[in-house]
Amino acid sequence: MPSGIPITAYSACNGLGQTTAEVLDGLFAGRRGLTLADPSLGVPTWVGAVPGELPPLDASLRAYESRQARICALVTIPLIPAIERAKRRWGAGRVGLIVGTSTAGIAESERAWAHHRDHGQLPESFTLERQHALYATVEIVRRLTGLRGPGYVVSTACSSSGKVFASARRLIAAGVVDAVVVGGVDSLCKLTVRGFASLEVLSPDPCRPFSSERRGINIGEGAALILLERRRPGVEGIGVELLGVGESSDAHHMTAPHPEGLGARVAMERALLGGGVAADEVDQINVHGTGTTKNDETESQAIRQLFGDRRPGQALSVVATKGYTGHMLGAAGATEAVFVAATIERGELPGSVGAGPLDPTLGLEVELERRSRATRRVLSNSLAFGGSNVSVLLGASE
Amino acid sequence: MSALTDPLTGTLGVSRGATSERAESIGLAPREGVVELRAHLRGVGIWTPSYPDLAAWVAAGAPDKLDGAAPGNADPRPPAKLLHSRLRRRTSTLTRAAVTALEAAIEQGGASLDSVRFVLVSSFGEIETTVELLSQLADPDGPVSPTKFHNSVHNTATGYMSIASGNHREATAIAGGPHNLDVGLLESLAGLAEVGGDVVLLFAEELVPAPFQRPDADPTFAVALHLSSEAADPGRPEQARSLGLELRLSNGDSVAGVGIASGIASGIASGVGGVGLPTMIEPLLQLLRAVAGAGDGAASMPTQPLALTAGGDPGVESTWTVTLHRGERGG
Repeated sequence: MPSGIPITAYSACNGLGQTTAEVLDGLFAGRRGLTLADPSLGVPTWVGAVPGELPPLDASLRAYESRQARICALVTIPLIPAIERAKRRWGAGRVGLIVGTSTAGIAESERAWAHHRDHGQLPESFTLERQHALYATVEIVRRLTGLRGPGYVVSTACSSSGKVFASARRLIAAGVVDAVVVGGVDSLCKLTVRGFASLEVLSPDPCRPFSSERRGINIGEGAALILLERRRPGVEGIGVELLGVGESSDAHHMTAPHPEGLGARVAMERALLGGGVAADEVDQINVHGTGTTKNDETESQAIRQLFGDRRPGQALSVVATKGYTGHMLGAAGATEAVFVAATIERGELPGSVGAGPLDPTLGLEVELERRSRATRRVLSNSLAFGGSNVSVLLGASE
Repeated sequence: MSALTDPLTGTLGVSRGATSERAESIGLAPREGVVELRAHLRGVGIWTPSYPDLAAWVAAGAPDKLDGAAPGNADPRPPAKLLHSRLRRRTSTLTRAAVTALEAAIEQGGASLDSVRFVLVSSFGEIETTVELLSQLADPDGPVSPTKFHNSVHNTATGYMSIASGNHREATAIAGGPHNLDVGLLESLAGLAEVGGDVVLLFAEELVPAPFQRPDADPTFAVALHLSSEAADPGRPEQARSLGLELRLSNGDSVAGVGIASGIASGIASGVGGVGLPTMIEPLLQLLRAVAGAGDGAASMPTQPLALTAGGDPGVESTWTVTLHRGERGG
């Protein structure tokens, strides 16, 4: 009984590597993609930076030059063959493009502001629309792929690239498009590193979500793109589908989560409703798990409220992956959806690196080591500033 | 099979063991041909530094220029009464303007503030706050304001709206470049088609501050549209002032030949490929003029629907056309 939207391809890059293969190898090998932050960022912390020199942009994209644009190109180019197939199948105008980002190319705006202070003018290479604007990220993917369907950026801070799945599902359900490239792209900048430092939540060490030894978060950068296509004979999916998406607002505080995890619980409940999946059918959760005490406490409460009365034998595997990549902000939701998809495909769970020793007060059994387990119904949470919550439900194809 | 209930709307669903029509429909074959999405437009709100509400703008002759002096308006701060003074003190012009427009739209449309969904569309979002942060970041040893940091996110206004109104529904904040009008409507109307209810679609910008200022940037403004899957019920006191209009968004040729507003396509076309900043306010003002022209259910509604072509980018195939129609009043 088909009801989900098949995933037909994905791509990712982040602190674990420049290619999807490197990223997933790192994830399942338990290898952290975190390094000490460059001193120019001004904070003694660790970050998940895409390693190595980023390939230069194609000449047609030079005007978009920025770290954001290079990461965007890095994640898009490997997906072009699959996108070409989707264009032939549906028509380029029937494939949408919905990308999450929180800060886009603001690292360039930081440099431009200082350049203006020192020289009285903005750098010649800087334009508001190509370096600073959120929408430039969509323009770059559009130029690389020739996609001609509706396109926009979702920017709701750390839930951005989880909410792209909700928007894509709406557009497909309404018949506006037949396929959507969804994803998220964010790049390291002073604004987020020093901004989170001002909130006193940055960890001086590699982050340890759900561990009693946690000291806060690390900021990461990177990108993930996922191609969703309407079910039709001849559409070869990877065996994983988007079943549902749940969104909610905490209506509580701009930065602090609801003290009982209300918004997170409601988002998960609504994802299950949208996918027609009962709570006792869920066998894995990829938690938001940033590495702050408040996140871990409230998200654990939400999970215990929703799944606490499971019968024996219905194990719920909880996996926290920000110890690999850092918190990729507007790219986190899509990246963790790729992690979940790979988990379902491989029939094995990654370990939650850094989570041991577990904080016993949370009341959750978090997966510490990689192990074999075929999961079929998996939630992935992203919780953000403004109380913006989303939970994405992916499942194995029937 | 087990029953599932939406914790916010009370909507019932069922698990995959049984037939779930809503989930089913998503996996089915594409709809052929023209796509048309419809919503009842029940209320509109506007705030600009010169025109604190729609009536003031209409009284001034519904001008293109929003930054001209308007008589009797000396307060550049949007009132944003919904926000508690403790919250309001911390918020930007954009957030207050959007909140002010929201209040006007739902007061007219008669929606419940705690159960509408918010869709915010903006190219540059909290740009004043963001540029202030850039100045702080330019000093490697200086302090960075944590309040300004969390108030710089694109979804700041919707965050404050949900907090101030105790609203737990979904809210989103998007950016569509030259397509801000059409993608805002697509996101909103697709949501109404999916789950019904009420959406307030907000469009807002702040004038881009130095050193990034641009002559082609939109002025400071906020426009709010209360869109609903239900027509207003004039028998209900809170809906008695609602607009009796229906907004339709369609692609292809379904409305070919209907008077396309001049100036819209050209204004948007200047934003193609990042050459110049696209304008969002121009097509919005065309829409508001059509709404104002429609009067309060009076005979002044044009016999032909007004169409706004919200597209014109060769990189995007579908041209989405917005039309307004005299709606069926409920009751």
